[in-house]
Amino acid sequence: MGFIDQRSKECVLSFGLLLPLILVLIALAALTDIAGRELLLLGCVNVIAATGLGLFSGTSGILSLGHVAFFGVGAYVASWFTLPPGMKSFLLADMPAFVQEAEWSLPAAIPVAVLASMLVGAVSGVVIMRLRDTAAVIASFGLVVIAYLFFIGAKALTNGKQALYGVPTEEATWPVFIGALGIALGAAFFLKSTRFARNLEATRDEEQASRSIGIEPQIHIFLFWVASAGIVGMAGALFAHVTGVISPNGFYLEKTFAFVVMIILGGYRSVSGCVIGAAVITIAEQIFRKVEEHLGTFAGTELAFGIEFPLVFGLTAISFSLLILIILYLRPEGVLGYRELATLIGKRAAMDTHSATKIDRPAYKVPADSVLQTHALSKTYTGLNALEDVSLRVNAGEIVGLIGPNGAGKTTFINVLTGSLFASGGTITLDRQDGTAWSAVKLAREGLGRTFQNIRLFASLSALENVISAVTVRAPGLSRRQAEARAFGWLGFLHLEDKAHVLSSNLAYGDQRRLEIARALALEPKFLLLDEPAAGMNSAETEALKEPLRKIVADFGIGILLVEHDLKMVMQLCDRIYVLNKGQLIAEGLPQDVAANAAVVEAYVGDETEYAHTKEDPS
Amino acid sequence: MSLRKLLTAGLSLASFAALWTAPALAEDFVIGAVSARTGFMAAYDAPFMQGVTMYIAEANKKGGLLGKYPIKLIERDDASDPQKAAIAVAELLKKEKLNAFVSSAISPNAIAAGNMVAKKDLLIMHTIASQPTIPARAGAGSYLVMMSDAHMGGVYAKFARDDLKAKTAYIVTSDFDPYTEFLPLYFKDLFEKLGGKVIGQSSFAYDQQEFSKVVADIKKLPQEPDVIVAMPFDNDFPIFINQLRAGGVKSTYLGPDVLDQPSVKGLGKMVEGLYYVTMAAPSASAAAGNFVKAYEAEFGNADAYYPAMVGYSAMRLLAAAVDAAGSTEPKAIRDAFGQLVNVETEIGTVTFKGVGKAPNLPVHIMRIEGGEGKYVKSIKLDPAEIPTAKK
Repeated sequence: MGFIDQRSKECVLSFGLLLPLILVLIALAALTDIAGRELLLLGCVNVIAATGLGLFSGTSGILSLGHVAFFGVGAYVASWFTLPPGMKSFLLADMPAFVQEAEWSLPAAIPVAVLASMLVGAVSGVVIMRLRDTAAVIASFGLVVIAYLFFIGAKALTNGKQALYGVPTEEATWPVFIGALGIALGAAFFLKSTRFARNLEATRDEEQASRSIGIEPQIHIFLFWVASAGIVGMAGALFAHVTGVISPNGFYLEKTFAFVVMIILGGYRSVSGCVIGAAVITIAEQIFRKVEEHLGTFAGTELAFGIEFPLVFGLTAISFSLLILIILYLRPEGVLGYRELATLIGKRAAMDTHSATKIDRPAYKVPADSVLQTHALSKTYTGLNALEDVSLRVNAGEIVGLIGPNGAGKTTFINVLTGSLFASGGTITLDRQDGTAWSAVKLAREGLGRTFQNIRLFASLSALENVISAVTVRAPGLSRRQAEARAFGWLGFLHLEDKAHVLSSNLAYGDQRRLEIARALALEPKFLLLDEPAAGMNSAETEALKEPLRKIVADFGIGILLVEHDLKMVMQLCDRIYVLNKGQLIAEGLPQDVAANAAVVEAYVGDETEYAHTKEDPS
Repeated sequence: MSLRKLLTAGLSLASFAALWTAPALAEDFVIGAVSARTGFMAAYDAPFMQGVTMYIAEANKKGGLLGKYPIKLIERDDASDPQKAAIAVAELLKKEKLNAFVSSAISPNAIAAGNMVAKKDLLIMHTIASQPTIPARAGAGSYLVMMSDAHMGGVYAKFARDDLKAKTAYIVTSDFDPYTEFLPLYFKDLFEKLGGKVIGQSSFAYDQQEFSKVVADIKKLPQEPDVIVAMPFDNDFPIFINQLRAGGVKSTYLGPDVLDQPSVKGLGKMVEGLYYVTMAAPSASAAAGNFVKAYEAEFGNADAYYPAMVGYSAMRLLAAAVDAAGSTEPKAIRDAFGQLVNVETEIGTVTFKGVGKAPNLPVHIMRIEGGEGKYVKSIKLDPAEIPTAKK
């Protein structure tokens, strides 16, 4: 498989392991007679639903409570076409004639159900993609409530609380269900293998950083929301044909809870985790039910001293909840955590594509006349000028320093320059284009790369994937393999190629700093904004950082704007220096001139001495 | 790996359980029951099944059905969920050799079960289900074992015309459930046939909890209706009656059949003089009174005797059908069930022959007086008076 990258290999392998595993589990359950046919089919439905839900929730990090709505839509829409016309004449009497007369097979109805679910997904996705964290979770829950009330209220489409029954259960055959399972898993792992999944995972881990390499989070959230809606809708279509009855109650809180439990239990950050979770839940529930039924046969028999064995119902629900508590106590991240099945079985290194990959040495050149400029840039908060008339220029091929004491306005300047804050006045010009009103994403795509004062790497992605995420923004046309090769090149440029497969959160501090630079470079920017790159580094690490920075300028002609506390480093590296104090530029010029400037010494060095004093004196 | 241990333990426990489950003996009369032991319908299904088990215990002391077939009951909980019900019914049918079946009163559950059970030619009773269209949709074996909505509506109409001398009526419906939607319409059918006039109609949504519009509609009428017929469920009922009375509407109220609950009686003056219908009136007959005493002694749950009495009586009907068939063969029992005439039970004298699959039987009218349901009278409709099932 020489044409695919590490991520694709993991996905193909996980798919190849998971599908047979589920089929073996089904076969085992069937042979041991633990579960009846209907329950096995339902287990299959659970796995498909969990796959869809996990695809969205895991990749985006937004725990969706809303997918039950798609499950319901899929169930109803498929049933419209498979219900015998005789039943529809009184259950769905107000439906148009072509629905009334339809008597399709389940495989014919599934695509329509999937499309309908995706359509509902597209409408709701417009809202969801704008929300994050708790707001997104609450909004997704709102979707369930709306759908539930709609299923009750839209009697012409659903027969309301009186339910649709007579859905042909003979359509629920193993070939259809296993086929659907294969398609669902295949689609989920295919999407998971694409750069879109990587981009969304990057957003999940560090949204601001993902914007800084030109990833637009909303479109990715939307894409995965809609795709997962389709998969869950398919599960709903199958579900209706196992039970033969669908009613609004079936698509409400209990099902929402069941779905959430499945994916949390298995580990919702990975598709494999969700699938395993669904399997565990299905099997466990079945076992508890058997025990409950078995105990029921003793009801009324005398135990001892006249005490009768009671008839207990509800034991299943209780044991089930206990099981969830136990598993989550032992493994808070879920059974699989963040990991796909393949990475559990083979170590990442075993699937390493490095040796076979031709390293693509980065080679690009920023035009020598490129300029990044701010003119009279201001930022005003009520009653406070955080930034006043800051005009600054960085040419291609030079390193420009921006220094200033704490509170000078450096952070505000960076936030305005990188599109995190809007300027109150003044302009930003990037290569003669007015970029004042550009978003962080647009600025990144137009050639402004950046790093962050407190490191913002995509923690759950490997070093290599951190860099690929930027490569694919710059060059979406590259094949997966080519993108990976180029990312290796950038890692090599910063001497990180041996750590390509290490999770970025597991890297040493200095390596993390350099990885952030590699990621920013992979965007092939014209200008690079480094926000205190030496912060927290020891002197040896700081020294080691200088060489690649000089090389970046020499090799690619990038212009660097270095915002730094370490005066020694700034003096040694920079061609020119700007000094900011109380929101205003108080000096600019060559390092030696700035160092000799009286205003700078008063504003900055005095502060620095004080700073140094408190730092060195532990008492 | 504690998870693996847990799973292994679970699996071995399950296989152990599977080995242990005692199969029904060939000479047992086996009843399969999938009903709500948990969830919202458990309040009705569970006491019904208690009534069934009371009958079984008594019958088995005498050797069982036909004096030689002990009754064995295999129960499953559907948790008031149609999907769980469908799965449980399918499993039970596959694993057990059954002679008769009981399903929940929830209509999707009942209809799905009926269609599956029909393939095995079994008789199926749907606890306290009252929707008269259920048997037609649930297949050949399906019978109601208590008054249908059509009976209730018809009896109210007859009572309103003959006893209350009502000339005008106002009905309030809600299409979320056939009971709330059609019962007032069944009332209307017979009420107008008997010369009364329905002068208005309003509708409400489930859990609406706000009825000022309905009250305003009634107040707008040139004259107050003699009776109001509305069947809100117990979540909506207290607010409905409260707003109706607070709005100054004094019309006689003919209400749903679940009004004999302590929570309703506790509403005090507001529900004073209100009428409801029931299958289980302890003062209607000695048999009914005795049953309530026995039930209280056995289960100590005085408030749930209504469904229990229906369950107990349903078993009497089943036994009568087995006697008539002279065998425990499912299809023979099923056919005999539909031919039952004047079977004496705790809920009254029940007839199926000639009236379809919802029996004709007396409906007891109750009136709330001083916080207690007082028996007023029993009315048995003439078969020709029973309103035709809707939808």
